[in-house]
Amino acid sequence: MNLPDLGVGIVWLPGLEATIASSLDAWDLIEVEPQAFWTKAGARDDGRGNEPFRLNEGAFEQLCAQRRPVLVHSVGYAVGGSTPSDARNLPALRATFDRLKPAWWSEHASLQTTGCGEDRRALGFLMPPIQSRSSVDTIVDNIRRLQDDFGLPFAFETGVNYLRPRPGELPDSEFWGSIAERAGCGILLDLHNIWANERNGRQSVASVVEGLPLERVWEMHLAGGQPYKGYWLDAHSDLPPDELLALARRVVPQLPALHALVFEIVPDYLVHAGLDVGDLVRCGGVLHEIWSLRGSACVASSTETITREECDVLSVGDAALPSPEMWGTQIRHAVDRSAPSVDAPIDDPAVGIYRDLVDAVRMGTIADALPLSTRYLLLARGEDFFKALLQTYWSLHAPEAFMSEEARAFAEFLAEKDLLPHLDELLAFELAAHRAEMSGKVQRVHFTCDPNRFIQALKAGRLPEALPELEVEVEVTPHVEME
Amino acid sequence: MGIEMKHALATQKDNVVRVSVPAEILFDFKKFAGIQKDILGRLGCAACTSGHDIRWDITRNFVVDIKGQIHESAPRGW
Repeated sequence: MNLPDLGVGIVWLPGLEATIASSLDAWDLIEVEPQAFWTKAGARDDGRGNEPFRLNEGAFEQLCAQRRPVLVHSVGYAVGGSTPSDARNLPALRATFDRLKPAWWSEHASLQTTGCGEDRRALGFLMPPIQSRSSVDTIVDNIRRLQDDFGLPFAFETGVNYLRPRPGELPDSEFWGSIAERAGCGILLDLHNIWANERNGRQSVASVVEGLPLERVWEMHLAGGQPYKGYWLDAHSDLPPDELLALARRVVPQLPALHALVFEIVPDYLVHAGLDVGDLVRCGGVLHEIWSLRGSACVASSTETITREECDVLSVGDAALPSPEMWGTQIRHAVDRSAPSVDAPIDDPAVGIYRDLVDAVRMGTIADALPLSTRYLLLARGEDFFKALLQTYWSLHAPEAFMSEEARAFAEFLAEKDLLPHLDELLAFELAAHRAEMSGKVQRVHFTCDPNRFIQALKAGRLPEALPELEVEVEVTPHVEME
Repeated sequence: MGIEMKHALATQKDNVVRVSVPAEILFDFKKFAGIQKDILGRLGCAACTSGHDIRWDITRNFVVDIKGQIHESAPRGW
C-alpha cells in the first residue's frame, strides 16, 4: 500500500479547535472524529425519525483552514459486530471523505450497536468483540464492504478490552492479525489501548507486537489514562505517561510502514489536567522524536499471512464461545439497563466497570446538552434525586448514539413528570435551542414566567427567587446560517 | 451575556410578551466549563474514549462549589 508519511498529529474534537490552532506548528496532521461534527439534518423540526446526518459546515471549514493533511477516525460505524451499523453514516462519511480527502480512514473493531431494524439499539460505548473465528469472519466481511463502498484505504483500531480473556478466544495479536491479513487492511495500533489491556491482565504489549503483521501497522495512537477501581482506563485524560512513551520508543522502530503518529485527548480533560498550549507543543516535540525512530529496527515479520485454514486451527475453541450475534445480545444485557435478561450473562468483574463508564457517558451527555435543566434539578432537588431519576430513565431507554437524541429522550422523560415549576418550559427551551442550531430555523417556545430572571439565576448557579406569572413567547434564533 | 427582553418582537398583546433569544445563550458557560464548545459541538457523537466521562463531574462540582460545600476535584470512584 503506497501511503504518504504524514507525521505527527492530534485529534480534532469540539472544544479543542482553538488549542490546536495555537499549537499548530507542533502538528503535521490533524485527525478528525467526524461524527462529533455531524448533526441530524433537521428535515423535521422535532428532530425525530431517521433523518440523514449533515456535516456542520462551519466546523469543517475551520478544520480545513488549519491547512494540514486530515485523517478521518470514525466513531459511529464500528466494524466489530454482526449488526449492521446505522446506514445513515454512509452518505455522511462519503461527504466527509469528499470534503477532506484523507489518505486513509479508520474505525474501531468494536461493537456499538445490537439488533436490527426497529430493534437496533446503541450500546453507548465501544464494547469489545468476542475473539473467535466467527467474529473474525464477521469483521472481515464488514471491512470488505466498507472497502468496496468507499474505495479508500481502511485501518481498524486495536481496541481496549477490560474483560478477561475467555477460554477458547484467540489471543489479541492473532485476532487482530487475522482480521488485517484476511481483509487486506491496515492496523491502527493504539498503543495506549494495548498497554491498558496488559495492565488489566490481557496479553502483553511485547507479545501483541511480536504477533502482529507489523507491515500493516499504518498508524499509532498515544494517549493518557487513569486508574479506576483497580483498572487502568483508556480515558484520553492526560499527556502520554513516560512509561508509554518509553514503550513507543521500543515499538516504533519495529514498524516499517508507520505513516502517522497521533495524540488523543478529550477536550474536557485538557482543562481538568491543567494543560495549556505549551504542554501540547512539548508533547508534539516528543512525538516527533519518536516518529523519527520509525522503521529503524525492522526485522522480517515473523507473522506470515494467516489463511482461513490456519484460522480454523487457531480457533479450535470457537465451539465453546458465543456466536457474534449472541455476544452482541450478551454485551447489551451487560451494559444497557433497559435490556431484557439473557440466559448466559457475561461473568466478568469488568461488567461493572463498563456499566459505570456507560452511565458516566450518559450523565455527561445530559449535563452537556441540557445544562440549565440539569443545574435546576441539582440545585432544587440534589444529586441523589437526580441520579435516581437517571436510574429510572436508564431502565426504560437504551442509550442514543447522538447527544441530541439522548437529550431529547431524557427531556421527554422528565416532561412527563411534574417535578419543578417551569421545568417543562425550560426543557422545551433547551430542545428548541438545539433544533434552532441543527435546522437553522427559528424556534418558538412559551414561558409562564420571566425567562430572563429564570435562566440568569441558573447560569449564576442559584435557584431563581419567586417568579411572577408572565406570559412570554420566546423566539429562539440560530446563530449560524445553514445552507 | 444575558437574555435581553428589550428585543421584543411585538408590543404586548393580550398580556403576552414576545422576545427573541439567540440559541447560544444556552451554552454561555465558558467560566464553568473551561473550554469553548458551541451548541453543535454538544449534539453530535461523543469523543472516542474508553474511559470515564468527566462532563457530569464538572457540572456536579460546579453546583457543589456554588452551594459552598466541599469541592471534589476528582471524579468519584478514584
